[in-house]
Amino acid sequence: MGKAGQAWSSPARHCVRPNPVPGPIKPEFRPDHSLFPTPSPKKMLEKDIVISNKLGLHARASAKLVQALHDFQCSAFLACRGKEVNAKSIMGVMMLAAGLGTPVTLRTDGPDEEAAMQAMLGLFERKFDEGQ
Amino acid sequence: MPFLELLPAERVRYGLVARDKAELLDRLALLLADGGDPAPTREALVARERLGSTGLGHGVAIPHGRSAAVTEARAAFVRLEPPIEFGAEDRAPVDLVAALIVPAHFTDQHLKLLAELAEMFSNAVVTAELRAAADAPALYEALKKGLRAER
Repeated sequence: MGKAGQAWSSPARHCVRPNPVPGPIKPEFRPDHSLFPTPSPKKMLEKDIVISNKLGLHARASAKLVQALHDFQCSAFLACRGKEVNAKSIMGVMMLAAGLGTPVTLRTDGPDEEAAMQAMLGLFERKFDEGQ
Repeated sequence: MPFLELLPAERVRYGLVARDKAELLDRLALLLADGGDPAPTREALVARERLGSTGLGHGVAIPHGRSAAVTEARAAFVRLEPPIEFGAEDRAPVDLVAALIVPAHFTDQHLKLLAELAEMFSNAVVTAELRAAADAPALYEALKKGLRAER
């Protein structure tokens, strides 16, 4: 600490521009916003669907959904009647008791959210390959 | 119709021994048949497991089936000793088993029963109490408490 510490905390440090000529500020002299991150609105994918297979989200359909999401890194959720559950958990999905005609909101959030959303939508559209 | 209403005390078994999954399904079919012919129930349970294990992970399984030969929904609950391999995704051997046979037309009712079981089994306090029960009456009491806890 001592002198070096004082110099580091000098309030003038971020104000000094080495080049007084007007123009774009060189990137290396931009204040470091990562030290003071401003909260940005949370971005996640969201789609509303209606359950269309005759038996709804029963145990086997829940297992298929969880398996389809298994290899994706993003988090995935299902929301229905004010309840939101982890779409990667069989017990979570079964807890919704979502039957034929129930509106459900699908959410994915993370690096591969788009592909995971498509995988989920595909399963619902194919009625979980149950044929009815 | 809550799960408990389908589960009289005599279909709660503590310390049941089964060598493997097939023997367990046999025993469950006998329990669920309640003195009747266990064959349709066994067929339904076996057919369902063929589609994919009903092991939910964490040592819990919910073998269930739908059968046109069954007129009323029935449940059984078993604590296995020792736990057996059940083909669950997490590969954990299973010791807590909630079994269910329902008539073919059950759809929304069936979903509600599954949701009730999922709520109960996802509660670690409840599963610890189910495993701590030392006999069938204690197991039944822990079940009643666990199934009420979710409401």
